[in-house]
Amino acid sequence: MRRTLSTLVLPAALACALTLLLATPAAAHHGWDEYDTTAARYVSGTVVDVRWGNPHPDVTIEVDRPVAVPAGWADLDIPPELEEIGGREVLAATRPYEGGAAELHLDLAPVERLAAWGMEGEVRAGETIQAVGYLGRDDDTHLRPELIVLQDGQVVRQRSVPLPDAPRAAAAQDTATGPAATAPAADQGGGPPAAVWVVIGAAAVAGGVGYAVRRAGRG
Amino acid sequence: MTDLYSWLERTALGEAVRTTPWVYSSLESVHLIGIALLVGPAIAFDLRLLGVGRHRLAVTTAARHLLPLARFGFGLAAVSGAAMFVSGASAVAASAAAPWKLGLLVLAGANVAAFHGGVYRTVSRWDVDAPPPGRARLAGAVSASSWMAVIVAGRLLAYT
Repeated sequence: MRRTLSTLVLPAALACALTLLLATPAAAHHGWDEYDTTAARYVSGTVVDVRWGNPHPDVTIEVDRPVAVPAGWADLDIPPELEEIGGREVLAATRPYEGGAAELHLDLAPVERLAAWGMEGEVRAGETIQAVGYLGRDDDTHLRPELIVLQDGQVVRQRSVPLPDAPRAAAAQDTATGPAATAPAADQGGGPPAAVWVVIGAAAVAGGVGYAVRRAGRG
Repeated sequence: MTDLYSWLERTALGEAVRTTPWVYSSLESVHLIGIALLVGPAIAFDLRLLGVGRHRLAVTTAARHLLPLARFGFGLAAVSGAAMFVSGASAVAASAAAPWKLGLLVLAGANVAAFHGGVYRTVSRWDVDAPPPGRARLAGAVSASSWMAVIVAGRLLAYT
């Protein structure tokens, strides 16, 4: 029985090692944590490419220059559901996109959500689009929108849950460019927290298997 | 290869999976049910190969009960997985986890073939009340670890 038990720990250990190996270069488009939600960025542009569909439509835009947040942006008419989870505060804290990319990818919500949020049809190449959203922490050519404004003026929300870290207005952010701005990034995607979860998960699997083996071994 | 992936995405199947509401999420559900029916019974059988319950359960009985279920689960997972792959081939193929998942699937499949073509032929000698031979234990350990690792790699497709 002892030999069997030690053999059973092997799968858990292997899965654990593999997870560690693969988890390190994680650069994902999943969850708001993958995006720098401390800075809400406004951008407008012309759609140059669309990969429509699930799990996320990918809309590539050519960024209009110069970038400036339109007058009255903070008073934009937004759905009450978005207002309840901080949409108005995001608009008030919106600042222009300051990056140098000629083209940005907008990572939209799944198509079922877009439909539920009132969007009919697809975005098409050649249309103009506005967005406020958050740049990817690991890939700043991707922007995950808070909301988009279509060519016909329709506002479509893109967020269904509260943000993990609310955007700050430009002035407040600039004074805190140093440690405050880098600390969350260091917390995200680092090795140690992921490793902790992997070890706990592997221990739980190994423990569960060990328990099952002991129970099965009796009688 | 890149051309092949974008061609796959543009096929009627790829377009339909991607753009028809609820199809993608339904395929994800089928994929999960398939994984449950495959990996659950597979690991239950692997445990028997490792010697768990050898006084009460014949290896051949466990095989007849569990392996058809695992094959059915594999079928569900393979078909739903292929459909989802076609709909987003470029993104999936670009993931760092993709070669791992494919390689681990090949490992798991080779292990199945080696087991059934090899040590399982002598099962009558260790069917009940006998410690399974080392090669059977090895097959069980490789199976359990490789199927779990396939799940890990598959989940990481979306994150790497």
